[in-house]
Amino acid sequence: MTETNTDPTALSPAAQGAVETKKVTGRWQFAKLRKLLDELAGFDAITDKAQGRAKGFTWLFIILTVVLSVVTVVLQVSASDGIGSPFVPLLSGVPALGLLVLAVVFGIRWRKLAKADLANEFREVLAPFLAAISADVDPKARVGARLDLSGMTKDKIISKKKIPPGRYRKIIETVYKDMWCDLAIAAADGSTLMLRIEDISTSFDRHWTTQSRSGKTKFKHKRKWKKLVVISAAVVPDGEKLSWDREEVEQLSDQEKLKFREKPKGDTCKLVRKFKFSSTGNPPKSGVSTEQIIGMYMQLYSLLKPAAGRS
Amino acid sequence: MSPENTEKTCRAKKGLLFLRDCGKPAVTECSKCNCPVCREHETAGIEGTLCPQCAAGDKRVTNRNARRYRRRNRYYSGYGYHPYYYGHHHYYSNRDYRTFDERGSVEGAAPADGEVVEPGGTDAVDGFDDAGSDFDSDSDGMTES
Repeated sequence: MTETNTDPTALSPAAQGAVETKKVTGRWQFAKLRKLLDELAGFDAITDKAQGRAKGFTWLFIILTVVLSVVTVVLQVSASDGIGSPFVPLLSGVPALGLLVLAVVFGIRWRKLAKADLANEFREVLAPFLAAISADVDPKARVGARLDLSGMTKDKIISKKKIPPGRYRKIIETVYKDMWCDLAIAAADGSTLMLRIEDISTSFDRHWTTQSRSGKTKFKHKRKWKKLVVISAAVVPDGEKLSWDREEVEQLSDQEKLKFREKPKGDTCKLVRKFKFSSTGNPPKSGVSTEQIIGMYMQLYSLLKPAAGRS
Repeated sequence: MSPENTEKTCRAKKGLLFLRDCGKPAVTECSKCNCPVCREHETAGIEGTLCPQCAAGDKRVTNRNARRYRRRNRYYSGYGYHPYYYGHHHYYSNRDYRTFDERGSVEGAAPADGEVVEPGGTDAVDGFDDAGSDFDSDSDGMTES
């Protein structure tokens, strides 16, 4: 894909499908999944930049259109009063019309790019994580993936309600639940690594009124965000090679949200960690870092010991 | 490289959560620790070819292999993590504590010398069906309140 290409049709068929549905599901060869995510990451980064530019130009042309329209009206009024030439308003009116057309063109482009935009987490968190563990993955095995790249959309709202406003006029709380990553990766040591990432974002729309000096009532609004990222990392070790050190597991269970379960195909240990972020205006950009996910798997692997029959 | 090295395999340790020998045919030896390394892990050092582990220890070396191994070392130091080593070759590094665990490491439990320990293979994929459904169906599965 070229550096400036934001056209999804320039992508591979798999990536085009992913951009269209904003989903990556199924059982993938690890290398192919990484290639797809890298391709999508490149596309998303370019799309994000182009979207930002289109947004900027749209607003710029809207503002210039408004300014020139005001100037045109003033000149028109002056011309109708007999001040100046009647053709003078055209000098600002025609460019205003041109700027309006440009604003519409860039607005359409902005909207089109926004539709193709993917959530950023997959390229900021998941792709680097997969790159980091690539040497640990069984290249012959397939990776089970259920990735939702659409981000926070309206269909992910699980609750929207008014909450006690306190000193504000009203507060509307909206909760989004976005389980965007579900992976099962076969490691080269026979273990299975499972990863689930869930974003629970809550927006608080605070509405209040203020009185200006002239006695005018002003309606004000501010949106605050809280984001909770829940990461569940689980390991199912190859029972013939490794087993869980139950004492260590119990010890850690006191400090961490760690669950141990006996399963016919291998005992599983799942570690859950929650990370909080907050912001004003736009949803929090900061997410969990790749290092934190790797740290969780290192924590789980450090609880493993050679299987009893193998010592 | 001397003729006897042609049959040697690369002993650079690859992996992050656990370590394995690279196993590819060696093309040269590390000028510092004499460890045989393949084309991929051959790392140009200031005073000759190095293995990635030695390259990572030399701050003057800044190529990709050195950076990658340095990052790995940072993870291990940062999390106090000692990975398992699934290999056969005794080129111990300062990360091999688990090799000396009381109950024996996986390496200690490995088949007789010369027999290759096969990694998970395609069977490991089957784990996903169970593992995947496990995420969904368990009442106390992955979904947390």
